[in-house]
Amino acid sequence: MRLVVAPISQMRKTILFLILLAAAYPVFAQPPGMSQGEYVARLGNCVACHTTPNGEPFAGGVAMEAPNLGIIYGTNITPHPETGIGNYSFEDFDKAVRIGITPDGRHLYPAMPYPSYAKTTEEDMLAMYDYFMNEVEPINQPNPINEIPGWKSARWPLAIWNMMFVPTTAYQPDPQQSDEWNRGAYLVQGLGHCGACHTPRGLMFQEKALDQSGDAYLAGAPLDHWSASSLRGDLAYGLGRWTEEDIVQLLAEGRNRWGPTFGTMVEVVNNSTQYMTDYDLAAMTLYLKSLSAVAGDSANQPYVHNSADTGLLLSGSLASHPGAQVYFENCMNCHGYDGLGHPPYIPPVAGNTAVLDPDPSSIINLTLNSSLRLVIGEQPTLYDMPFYREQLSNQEIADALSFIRQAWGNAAPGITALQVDQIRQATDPVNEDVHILRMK
Amino acid sequence: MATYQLQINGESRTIDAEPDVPLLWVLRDEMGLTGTKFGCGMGLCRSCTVLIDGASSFSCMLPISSAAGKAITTIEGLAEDGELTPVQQAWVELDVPQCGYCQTGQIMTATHLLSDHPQPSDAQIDAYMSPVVCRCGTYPRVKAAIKRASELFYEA
Amino acid sequence: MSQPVTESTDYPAGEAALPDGLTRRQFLRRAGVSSGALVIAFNLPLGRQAGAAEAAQRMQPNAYVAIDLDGTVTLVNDKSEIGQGISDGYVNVLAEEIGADLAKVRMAPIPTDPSSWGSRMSVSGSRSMRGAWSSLRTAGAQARSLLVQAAASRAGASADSLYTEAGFVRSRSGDLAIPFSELVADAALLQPPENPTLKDPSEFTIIGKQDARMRIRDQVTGKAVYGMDVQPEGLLYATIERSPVFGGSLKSYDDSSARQVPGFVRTLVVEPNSRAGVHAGVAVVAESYYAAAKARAALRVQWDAGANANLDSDQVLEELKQISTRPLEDPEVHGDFDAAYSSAARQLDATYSSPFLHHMTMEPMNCTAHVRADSCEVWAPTQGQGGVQGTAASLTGLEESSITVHTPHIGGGFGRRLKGDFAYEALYVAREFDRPVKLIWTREDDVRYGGYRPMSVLRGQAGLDAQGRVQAISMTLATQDRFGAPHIYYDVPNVRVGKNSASNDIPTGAWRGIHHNHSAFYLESMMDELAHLAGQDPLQFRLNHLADDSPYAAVLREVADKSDWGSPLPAGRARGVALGGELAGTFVAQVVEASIEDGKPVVHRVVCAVDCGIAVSPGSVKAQAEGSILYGLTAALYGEINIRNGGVVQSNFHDYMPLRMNESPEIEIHIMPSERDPGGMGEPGVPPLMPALTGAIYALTGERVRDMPIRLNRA
Repeated sequence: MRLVVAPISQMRKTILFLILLAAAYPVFAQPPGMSQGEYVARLGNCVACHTTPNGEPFAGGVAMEAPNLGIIYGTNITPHPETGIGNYSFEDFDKAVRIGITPDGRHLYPAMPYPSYAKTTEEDMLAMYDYFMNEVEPINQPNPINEIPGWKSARWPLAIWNMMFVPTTAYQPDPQQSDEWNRGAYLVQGLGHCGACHTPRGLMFQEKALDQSGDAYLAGAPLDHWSASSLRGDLAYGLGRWTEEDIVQLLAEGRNRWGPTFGTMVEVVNNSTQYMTDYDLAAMTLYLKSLSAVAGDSANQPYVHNSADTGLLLSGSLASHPGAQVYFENCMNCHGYDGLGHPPYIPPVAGNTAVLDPDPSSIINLTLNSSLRLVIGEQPTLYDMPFYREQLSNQEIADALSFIRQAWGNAAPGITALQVDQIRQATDPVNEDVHILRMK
Repeated sequence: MATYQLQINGESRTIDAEPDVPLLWVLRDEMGLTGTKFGCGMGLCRSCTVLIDGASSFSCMLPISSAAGKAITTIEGLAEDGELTPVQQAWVELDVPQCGYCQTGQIMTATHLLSDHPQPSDAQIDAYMSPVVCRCGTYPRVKAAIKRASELFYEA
Repeated sequence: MSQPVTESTDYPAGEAALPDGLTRRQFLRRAGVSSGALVIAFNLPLGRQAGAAEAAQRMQPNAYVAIDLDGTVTLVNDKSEIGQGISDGYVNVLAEEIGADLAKVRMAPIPTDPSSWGSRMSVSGSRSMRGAWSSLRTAGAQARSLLVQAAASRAGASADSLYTEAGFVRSRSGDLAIPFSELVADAALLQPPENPTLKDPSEFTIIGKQDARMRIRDQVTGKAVYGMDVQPEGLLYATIERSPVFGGSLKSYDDSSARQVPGFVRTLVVEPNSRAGVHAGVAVVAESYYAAAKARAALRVQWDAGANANLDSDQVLEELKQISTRPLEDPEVHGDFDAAYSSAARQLDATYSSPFLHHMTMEPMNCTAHVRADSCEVWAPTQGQGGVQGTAASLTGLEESSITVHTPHIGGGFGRRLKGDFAYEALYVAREFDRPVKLIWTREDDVRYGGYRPMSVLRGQAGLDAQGRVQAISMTLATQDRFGAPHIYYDVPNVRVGKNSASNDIPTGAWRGIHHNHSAFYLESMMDELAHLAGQDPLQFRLNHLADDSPYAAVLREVADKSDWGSPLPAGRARGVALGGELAGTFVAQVVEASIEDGKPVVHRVVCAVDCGIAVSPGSVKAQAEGSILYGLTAALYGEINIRNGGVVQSNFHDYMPLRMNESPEIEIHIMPSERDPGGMGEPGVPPLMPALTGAIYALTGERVRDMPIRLNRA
């Protein structure tokens, strides 16, 4: 194990001792050139919410819109003593990350995914604490004040919420499963906090399940006018048809034979998963592929490509097919007569799980607003989809997407102009600037 | 870097390139085939249209990795031995171009249209040609020239 | 015009003021003309008021006609081809007067040394044909006269019995036909007449009848080399990341990720230069364009937004509305507006607006430059070569005569390429390299760093008398536009017009038709509203306010006739009509036939009457009119550049939308017969379209559109 050992204070000696004790557990190496703590911070994707595109690493200021609440700002988590977390003891840090309570007793909003982070091992917490205290530059930057209407800003209900929904113990390995599976489960449930987006939430905004014991776990959920699609084993719109290699490739490179990822997941790949070791990618994949199909038979018909619609498009006689007409003029050159696109840069729409998602939010949002740029190895990809909100009406978009959802063997419900309009009203075109969030 | 075999205007060419380089820049900067124009870089104007296995496709958003192995025709490859195709002849006859920059897209797309529909209806012309942007305003002449080219196909 | 002279290519070397710094022999050889050809040097004046410097240049030859030993006619002149078809027009005029075979007339490459060229070289204001008309004809007639003289002495015939046609000198009796090729050597030794007899327009066989089509074969085969296509040996590629806020400055940048892109060469800081219209930027240079683009995307740049961080076009609009209500700074006054307005039977008081607009040429801005220790070559798709040469001289410290400016084919101009910002940037970057560098603007750069048609607001007031005649008009224009107030061409006794100026840091520039566009939209909209107030037919109402013999009335009557104005239309369709103010000696009226579908206007047919004087190249005249109509229609339906946070919101064709073929109406152009000298055609077809369309919308829906672009409330 590699450790960055700075001049060691008495307290840190204690930490080192604890780490050495923790080494009795299986040890998972981080990539070369990176401390364990930095790697843990990557796995948790701390940077995404605590660093602005042009700001200093971890100095906070990222605005996030919390549903029904208001604007919450990611805080300064540099070791600056006044404006950051420089005065946090390990216990303070651990409590904030894993339980959501600050040293002064305030409860954090669950925009901070502490219900997931709660599963982090003490070893990883210690490593991460060491990273933030010793590797991150202290930055003097006061935190902006959250913009939440007065009556919603009382934090005591969060205490109750936490009691009801937040686990308090770290991940417990399942002795029936392999080390690799357990490592994958630990990453997916814990630091990776996949469930924060992909698990549907209950009436109290709690995730309906926190691990594979619940069918709702990672079964797909709406997220800020996107659909965080199901990661279960369903064939139509889960990961049922994705191979292990597909999953690894998506997490490592942001794209695979199903095309590039989009929406919020772009930020996850850009800032977190691309830094994962091969072992961890394989472990996560093993765990995800072990999740059963849950949506029932109708969603589990195997997809078979059907070329009837290819023929229709090739005929160019589309007068009575308004959706095919819009597709022909606006979408086909990239996505193809056969709907097969040019993966990995341009996605196929035939058989694509995102297209077949029962919640069409993602494809509507993509069509209206496009998506962020993938940045892999600090190299942005220049295959941007144009946004169509100016060029196409709600009806034209609904027609084209309905066509796509039912062409080439796709079998998903049509889309109405009203559905398009609702997302149009609530969203803006994506900002095409490239954001490379640095941790150094 | 990877090596790709390209079939361009009937010739086989080997190109070393990054897999994500769009065909447009390989044609223009590597092969000197500058008749295929850069207009928008997002597939919105179609000035960069080439024929891929006979179908018109913009080249600015076509990764070289997807173009490899397919038969690619550029504007330079239309007229064999200097003899203009019916589409090109009609373009000359009706004096279609103004600045001319978009005309690669117009001519390549019209060539595809006429191979699919030798006697296209107005609706078919609109469907195939509407994605191809012209800022000089040659649309009325493009439309007329497509109809003239259709006649020339039959005369030929 | 200067004294015409003939010269053989054996002209003594060392003569002063040789174009392109070459001996005449070298110069003509570069133009592809062989030794012993008949050469006539002359001057193509600028078709406008010239400054002192220009006046001095007027006496220098800046054009040459050469008839080679094989009978080929070559024209050397300096006008860039931006799609306007000017080469076709010039060749027509020349071939007509010479009596040449149109197929054997060619244009030499555009000269490369603006400093020694009598005009400094530029294309603007629809002036190219107006400026050249009489000089070209005179030069052609001189050449004809010499060929006829040579034939007369050869055949022992009288010159009066001979004429030229299609490359031959012929006798009227029909028994003599000598090809030019046999006469050139003799003709080259003769002294040309100072005032040759020009052809009578009734004898024209080419002018107004044929089209030269000089460029088309290269255009349809992909062989035409545009600025974007220039590829000198050893080329490097550059792209520039510029300040997202107008007037912003560079704080710092980090190119560590950019350096990892294979093919990356280096980055360098581009200092802003407001006079040159150049923004602060970081240039990325690479071995291929795609590498440069990827490396640019990987840059991390920190900008200081500066004073314009909150600049917003909505605020500019509000400010202009305010300014438009203030008394005029410097009004042009006829009669007594206030008295006539206050005593009017009916009054109109309305405010109109036009947004910022972008040119959106199909070829994005680009320029290639190779700077050496003692010389510099520039390949610039520009409407102003002289400016490019001056820029190169000041950036490199070289003499202008050491700077060669090549003019490649140009993918559209519309006024955008009068700005030299892209050439400045290319030269700025190329100075740092011993290899040629091509600067390519992305489409996004093109949209976000243009020179926009300025926004304007007009407060219009007018009064009608009881008989429905306009007795008073006041037009207060508010804009940052340097151009002036609207010109009122209708017969109105009491007039007060003028401009109240605004200013901000949004870069502006000439846009096809310049202020004529918003002037026509405002004046013609007011006339349309007044016609409806008066309860009169909008076309007849306009005629009532024009003299019967005015060219405005003539084009209106023509367009009424050709559009069947007043005849019934299918349900849901209506017509609108409008004039444009005289532009470059040309008068245009249009009738637009439109309907509303899905809440949006759909134009089905546009009928256009043009009086452009003698239509030299009728195909080009029609092409320009068609193009202008579609250019205006695009602006009417979609054209709007918005500024937010100090920068342009739009970026590419998906949010600055062009008209497409399925929206392109049927267009009819009717050219009026005329014996007046030719007028310009690049721009005059644009202005009438917008008011004619909004007139049709009013007739259809009763909704008066006073703000461009058209957004219907009833949608």
